[in-house]
Amino acid sequence: MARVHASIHVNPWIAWQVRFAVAAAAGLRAIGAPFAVTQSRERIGHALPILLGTTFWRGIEASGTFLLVDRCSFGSPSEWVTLVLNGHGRRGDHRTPTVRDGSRWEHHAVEVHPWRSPVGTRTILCGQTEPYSPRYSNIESWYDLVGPSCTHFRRHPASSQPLSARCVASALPVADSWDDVRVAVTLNSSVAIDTVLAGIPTVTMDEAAMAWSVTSHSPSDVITPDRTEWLHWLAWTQWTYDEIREGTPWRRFL
Amino acid sequence: MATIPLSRPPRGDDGLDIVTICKADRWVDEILPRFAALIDANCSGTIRRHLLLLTDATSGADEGRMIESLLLANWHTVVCKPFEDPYPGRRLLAFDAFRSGLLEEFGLPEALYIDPDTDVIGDLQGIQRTAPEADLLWVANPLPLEPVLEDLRWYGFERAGAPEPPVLMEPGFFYIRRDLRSEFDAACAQYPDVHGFAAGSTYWNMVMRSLGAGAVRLPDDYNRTFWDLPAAVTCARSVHYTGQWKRLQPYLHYERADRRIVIHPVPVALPSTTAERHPSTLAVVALFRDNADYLPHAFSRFAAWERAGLPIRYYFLENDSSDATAGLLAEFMEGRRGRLESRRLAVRYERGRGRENHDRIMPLARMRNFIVDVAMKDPPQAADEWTLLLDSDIFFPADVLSRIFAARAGDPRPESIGMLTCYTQQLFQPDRIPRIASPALGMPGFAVCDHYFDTFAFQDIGHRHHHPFCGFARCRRCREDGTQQYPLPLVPADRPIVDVAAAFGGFALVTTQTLRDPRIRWTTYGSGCDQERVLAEHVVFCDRLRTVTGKRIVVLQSIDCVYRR
Repeated sequence: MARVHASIHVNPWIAWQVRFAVAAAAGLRAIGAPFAVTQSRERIGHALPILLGTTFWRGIEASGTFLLVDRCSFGSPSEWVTLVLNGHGRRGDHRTPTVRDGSRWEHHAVEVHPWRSPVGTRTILCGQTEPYSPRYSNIESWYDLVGPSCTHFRRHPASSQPLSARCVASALPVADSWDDVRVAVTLNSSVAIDTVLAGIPTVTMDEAAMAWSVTSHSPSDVITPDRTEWLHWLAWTQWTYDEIREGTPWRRFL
Repeated sequence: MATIPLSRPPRGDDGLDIVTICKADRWVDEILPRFAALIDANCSGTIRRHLLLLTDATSGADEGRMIESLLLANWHTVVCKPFEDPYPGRRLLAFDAFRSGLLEEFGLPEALYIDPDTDVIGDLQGIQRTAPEADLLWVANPLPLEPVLEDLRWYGFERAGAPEPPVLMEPGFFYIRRDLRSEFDAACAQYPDVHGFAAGSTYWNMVMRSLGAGAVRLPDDYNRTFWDLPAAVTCARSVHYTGQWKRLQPYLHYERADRRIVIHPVPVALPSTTAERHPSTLAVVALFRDNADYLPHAFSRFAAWERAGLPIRYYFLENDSSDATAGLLAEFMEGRRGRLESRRLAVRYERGRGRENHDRIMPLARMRNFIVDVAMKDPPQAADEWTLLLDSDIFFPADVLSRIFAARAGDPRPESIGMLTCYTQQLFQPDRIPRIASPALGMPGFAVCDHYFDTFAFQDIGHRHHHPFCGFARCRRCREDGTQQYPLPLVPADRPIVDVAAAFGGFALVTTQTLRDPRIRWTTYGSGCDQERVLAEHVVFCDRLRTVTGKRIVVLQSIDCVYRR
């Protein structure tokens, strides 16, 4: 009997993971790949682990090859996901084609705003829940590094931890909007994609940032490069639930 | 030889992995729910159910729905594969072959295989510790399968003319510690001309005999066949249905206490599965002070729940500890969701047993309110999240949540319950209750006498405060102290879910949605100048919960496995 090719690691208490697992199962079946759906925090034999989200499967991530199903970079999380092999964000391998024309991006028809002009006055430090970077063990150490260069702090919507009183960012006024923004500063959060698509000059400071190639890497630098090639690349990193269900992306990763 | 790599570390939780095989057909809806529910209801400790789901061209359209239902029924791993029959024309032999290679399929170091048309009616936990050196643990098949016996004799696996008929292995229930696929395939290849009646059984018996001391027979009560003597079946831990008896299976109910099997006119209701018995997510709120010796117990239980896949966020308030409590909590919280607060109180209260005063109760109420407010500022992980309100020095088994929610499911209106509390028993030194002591399960050195510990917070449904007595008829201590003349009505012992005006018990579950209402908080009221007599903060909390939400407070009298030291 053929070996299991892939194991979908799912927490059945989390609704989106169950929904994705069902879609992925249909897609794997469509390409004829035997698979497992499991709650296991360990690898299933030699199968490629397909890890739903970043919370529960750190042990598997640390022990070899894995395919991460992460939050989408654009569109609704109920319609899109990011698929990336062996890493988080741009640090992983998205198995994009060597030649990337604009057809997939144009097919998605995602709105892109021109770079904002004139630029505003606020340098907004964008919070994130975890650093996902080998250089920072906790996100506050990075806030302390860039906080002095920023004028405002934007809390991550999913963050539940208040900043410690010692953290530089805790003294910054909170920004509730992108009004009057000069530049958005993030370590590697997906907020950078939102800001770049919104035409806001952005700083990313970790190579895992998906918007790394269209952003500067120092709060003192503001750049507004041509985004076309990046958008074409980005389109190959994002997959719809319909594509997952039809099996479209799986051949690239298995 | 097909074996799994030996580099895999042993599982730390000593759980039991149970595997079965099923085609993706109507059995998924008709047979597997009963199989899963009876395992969950009757096996203790950590059980992981695994399924090899064999698909074919006809199952595609329905496969997604099946996978979703299996996930929601808490199957740990479902391996989906197209059904390829390596032995075409030999009925069911392919399924026996699959069984011999299950460990590699699931990446398991060892597992118990059970046919899906089996009712697990006793506890199978502990089978994994039987004969640890053996590769195969097997049970006897009570049916005299003559064609199998004839093949075994013909090919020299059994001596012809032996005075006693040989014992046959039942291949629908066995425990394996390594895959036996190569041995099974070798038997099939070497002896292709066995009878077709039960070829799989013949080959399994050949494999079992070829293993010699590596195959160990289990006690017969582990698995019986319904065809077997009814008396044996009623005592069995699992019962296998074959042939025409399969049609009867859904109508059978086992009354274990009376050793009776009852056949109902309609299919019997299934017990709830572990999935139905757990909250989908949990918040834990607790106060600690100088609890370094207690915390490892609580942490081990939290870790077990996390391993079982329950998302948990933790909110701990530590105050004025002089031992390692603060450090232990900080270490535990690393990488976990929630918040730890450590505070020094401006005015310290002193603990005192046997007397309750305003100077102690009010700070406790304020601390409870503070940490619950912190927890409720964060969004719940799911709309149906429950919050556990836990006191220190409360001991509880790892499966207590399953037990609580199973008990809740037995209530005719479970959605009307706003707060679930346990029948938390006071632990005693055995010599303090010499005539009425019974062992406290899992708490060596301690005894219990069915005394409900939290008498200060308890008010029965008539708002009667029984303190210092506990108000429950089953309590042997309060009866010994003068129940004969006791002036108040007692809660009868035969009521598993007891509606009360107020209770806590050190281990209580409230829906997070309820606690997000800032009116539902703790406070206390004194009694004139006599501040030695005050209302327990939980009485006010429960009153607010009942009056604001209209929901019930219950003591689950059947959940008496929670202890207070």
